Amino acid sequence: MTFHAFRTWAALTLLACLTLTGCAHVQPPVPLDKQFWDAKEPTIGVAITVVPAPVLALTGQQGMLDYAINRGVNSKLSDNVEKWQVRDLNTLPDVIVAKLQAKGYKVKRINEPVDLNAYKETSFREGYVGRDLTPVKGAYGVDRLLLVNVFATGATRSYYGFVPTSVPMAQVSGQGMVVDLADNKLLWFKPFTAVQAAQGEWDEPTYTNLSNAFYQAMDNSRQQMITPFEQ
Amino acid sequence: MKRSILGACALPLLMLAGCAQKPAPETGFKSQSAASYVQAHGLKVDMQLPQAFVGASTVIDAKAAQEAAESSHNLVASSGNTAGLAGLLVASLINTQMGSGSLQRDAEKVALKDSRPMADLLAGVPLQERLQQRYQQASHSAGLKQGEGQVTGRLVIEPKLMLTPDRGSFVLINQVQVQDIAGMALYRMRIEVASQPIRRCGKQCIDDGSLDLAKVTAVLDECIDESMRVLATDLMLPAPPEAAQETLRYVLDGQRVVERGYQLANNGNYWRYRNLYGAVKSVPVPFEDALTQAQLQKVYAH
Repeated sequence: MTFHAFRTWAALTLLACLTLTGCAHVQPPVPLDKQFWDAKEPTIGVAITVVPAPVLALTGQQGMLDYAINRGVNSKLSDNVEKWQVRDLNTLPDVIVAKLQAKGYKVKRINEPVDLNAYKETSFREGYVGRDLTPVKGAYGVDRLLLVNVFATGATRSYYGFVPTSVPMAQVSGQGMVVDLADNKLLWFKPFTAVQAAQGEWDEPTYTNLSNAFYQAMDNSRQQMITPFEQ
Repeated sequence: MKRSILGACALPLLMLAGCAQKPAPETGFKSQSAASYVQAHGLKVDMQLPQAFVGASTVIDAKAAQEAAESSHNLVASSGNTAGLAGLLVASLINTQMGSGSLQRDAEKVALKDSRPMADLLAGVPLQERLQQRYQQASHSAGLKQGEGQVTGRLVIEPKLMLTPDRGSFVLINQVQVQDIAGMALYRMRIEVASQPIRRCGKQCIDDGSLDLAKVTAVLDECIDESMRVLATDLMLPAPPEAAQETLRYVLDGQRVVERGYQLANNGNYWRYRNLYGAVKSVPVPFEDALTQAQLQKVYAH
């Protein structure tokens, strides 16, 4: 290989590495500031994204065959997880609306689940939401959007090959945000992950303790979203 | 090659182990004829005092448990990465002796020690006679027909007093069974009633931790009364429809309790629900976002 070819390959490799790692922008949490509480005039729209159905996620180092075996071994658990209800998350905006209304803010419940993919993606800018949500202002007649964005619900279990390295844990994760719809600025941003182990045996025939753990994780997530608006 | 052989050996073992689920605890049971049998023949109360009447719930610090779980997970995962399946087996053995298992054993020792003052206090009371009498009186007051003569049902109650994590109150756990004259079970239920605080100076205070017998027995009597009221109501209730299942949330002794179940009609100071195991729980605090009586009737009507 000539020096020129070597240099080209090295540059391409470096570029690929930079592209892959450089994209991982992480928005740090933004505390709810005084500006939010002081402004009682703007109308706050409260909404939630489409809550993903609960699934059993098998994580860890698994080959394709391992994964197929693990899926098979956990099929009953997986079926059970898929029956869990996420109604408590869908009613979360109603609770926040009630809290804000009690404090004298103008609040509007947006009943349709917000599909973030329907809004144009923007380049990363710290302190700003990664999508252009300004059309929400006109569509619903609100000035700010309080959005609960749920990423994952269900349970997770880690594996090394086909050997389980953890018991199944219930999990709910997502993020809460308040967006100023004039410029997409984040007035509040809080990621949350609630992971809860079953209290007692997890592998009973109906997975009762694990089911309870899921509803506890969901309650934990709800509390993380409600508490900032209770002060 | 080595991995394939190990895998081939471990696979049948894992598959077998995966099928061996833990048995579920005994769930509640009610025969359709239970209520009519009790109404027709009445019940004779048979309170069976267990040897260890007083216990205390185990308390494991959530942070320590989380750390233990994380270190266990890291140990197992890293041993798997570095030493393969053999490493996993060694790690599992270490894990049993340390981490979560050790926390549980320590918590059990502390619980045993914490239950001693209450057990000593009640040791001076003729519990068998007292509780038998109180359960009988409470069942009568709750409207359960008392059995007279030879043909009558039998109400077997095995109570247990379990101190709560803050030791400031307790839960009276009743294993209840209604039997017909032949001894066949018509109804079997676990009824749990959370008590009012047993601290001498009330709910919002810190006292020296010593117990007052008069206060404890008064609180215990109240729990027995509520247990029998729950039984009398539950005997008449139909099974809740699946759609009525919801998440019950309440704060008891400063601890947030979240459990899936079915809300039941409340009674006075007590709010009741049936959990997923079928046990009926009664707590002296309201549920968050509780359904109103009208909403409950609507749900149960479907």
